[in-house]
Amino acid sequence: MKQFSIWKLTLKIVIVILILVLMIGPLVGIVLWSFARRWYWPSPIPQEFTLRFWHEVFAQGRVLDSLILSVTVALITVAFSLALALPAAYGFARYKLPMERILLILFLMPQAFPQLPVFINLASIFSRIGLKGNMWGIILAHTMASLVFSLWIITATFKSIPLELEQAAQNLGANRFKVFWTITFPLAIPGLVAGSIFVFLWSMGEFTAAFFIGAPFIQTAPVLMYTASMGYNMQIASVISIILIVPSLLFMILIERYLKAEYISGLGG
Amino acid sequence: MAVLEGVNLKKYYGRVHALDNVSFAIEGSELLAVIGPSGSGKTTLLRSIAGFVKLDAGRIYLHGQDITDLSPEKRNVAMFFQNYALWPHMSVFENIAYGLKIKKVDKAKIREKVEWALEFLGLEGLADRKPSQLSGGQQQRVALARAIVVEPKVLLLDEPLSNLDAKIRLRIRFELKALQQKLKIPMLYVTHDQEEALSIADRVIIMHNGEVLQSGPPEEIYRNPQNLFVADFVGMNTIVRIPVQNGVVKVGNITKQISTQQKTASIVVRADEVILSTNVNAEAEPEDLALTGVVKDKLYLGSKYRYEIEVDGIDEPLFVNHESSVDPGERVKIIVPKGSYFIF
Repeated sequence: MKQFSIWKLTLKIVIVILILVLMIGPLVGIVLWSFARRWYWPSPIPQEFTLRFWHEVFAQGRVLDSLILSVTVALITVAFSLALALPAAYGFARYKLPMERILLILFLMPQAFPQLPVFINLASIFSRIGLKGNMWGIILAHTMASLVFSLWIITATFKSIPLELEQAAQNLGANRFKVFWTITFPLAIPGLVAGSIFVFLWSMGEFTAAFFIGAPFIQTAPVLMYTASMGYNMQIASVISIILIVPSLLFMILIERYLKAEYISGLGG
Repeated sequence: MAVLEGVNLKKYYGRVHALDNVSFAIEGSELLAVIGPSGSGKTTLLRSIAGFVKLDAGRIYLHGQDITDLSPEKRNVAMFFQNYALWPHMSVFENIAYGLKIKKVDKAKIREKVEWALEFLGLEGLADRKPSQLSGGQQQRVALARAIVVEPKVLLLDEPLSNLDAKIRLRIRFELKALQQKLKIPMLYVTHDQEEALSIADRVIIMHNGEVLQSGPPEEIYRNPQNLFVADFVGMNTIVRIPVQNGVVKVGNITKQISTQQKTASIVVRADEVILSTNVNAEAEPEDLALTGVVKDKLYLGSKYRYEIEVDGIDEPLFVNHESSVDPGERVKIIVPKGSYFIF
């Protein structure tokens, strides 16, 4: 029997509350801000509430446009990122490539350096080839920078699939292409899903590249939010950030639904 | 013409000779077992036949056709993988049907064949399960069903029983043998378990360090081993070493001429086949090895006892098994019948 201790229980409760405050606290702040007309220090809640800013955001339409742009960019980025990472990851996982580690680390480079110089440079290159102020420019930048997530995750997934599962299929007469689509790919779906979620969320929230490459013609949601909060309009920024959560949440729920049980239980076997 | 033939197969991994001039042939629908300790090259041999290992030299013929350079999917040899390699995302039915689907057999025929295989291997009612929902023995049979349902020209088995419990293993051994005789599929069977190999194989190949040391029917391998390694690898043995003088080994009543180069000779004794008698003057045939000694220690094994015996004229202790009970300290006569001891 474990000894019941009031101190241990208290400690547990305190820790749980702390975690909740740390995780949910900022969210609560944002939600409050989005409804605040006046909120001065040191009051814990706004002095006056209003729906004005929600109305304003939706009435303007540019918020919705930004949101649609962000989702479009993120979805196409996921598609590109997967399309590039899939064959590359398979190569990394299944063949002895020379300098494999160095090559894998190379893909980390766009993320390894401070984002600002990387993307300002990219923006200046893109402006010369007409990709600046263009959705496809942002997509390209996002694809390049997010390749490290999808590539690493999918490589690890492929590596976790025993080679013998592929060989058994080949042994029964399946050519390499058939083996990939009937064995390797279905078994890798959980990894692909994880990679997609990562890339999607990253792209949805990415600011630097979207700002420098998108300017001056297009604004993704995070850029819009930034410009809004730059004008000390905390309310508008809060409303946008809440709206920004929605597609990410939807994407995660959708994909989590899709990948459910079957594959995971199969892999867990 | 041999069903499957390997001629002078060679495979090197750096300096290691995984296969060093290995030749073999399977005739008719026999079961050929390849045995050897781990690292002896037996699995490399199997994988090279399946096409997963590229040979450095040598040719492989299947029904006279050279398959050495064919890719694995074109070879028509089915392989049973040591850890079954069942696909976790497919049901038992889909696993077994896979090879037929690839060969574009029509649906009704696939169903018929898979159902036959399920029944043949006692897997009725499990068709819709996932491999993870099966016991080890069931998984093993699904893997077997998957391999035989495509009617391969040769079935390659890589340690098929090694992942099963000892008791099930003994039973499956007979089942495998019965299955092979019913289906008449030639089999190449790789195992490190010599007893398993001797009990089910029509012929046995013993490998060590990438070389074939001896091949032949199980009885011949057991009764007439060509060298120390083979003699020791098969059966339950005890080995004692004795010095050689001018190329002559003298042990008990037996004198044997061997190479003058050798400083010591090894005597391999089949531990279960000795006769132990407290009558020190017991009669022995002239070709039997007769020794005398003192029992040092005794261990109860259930059906018999295991004895440690200090033999006159031999420094190392001799371990033998016998059903009669002799107390430590007693003098005994040990008679090893001809064919149950080997001197190298």
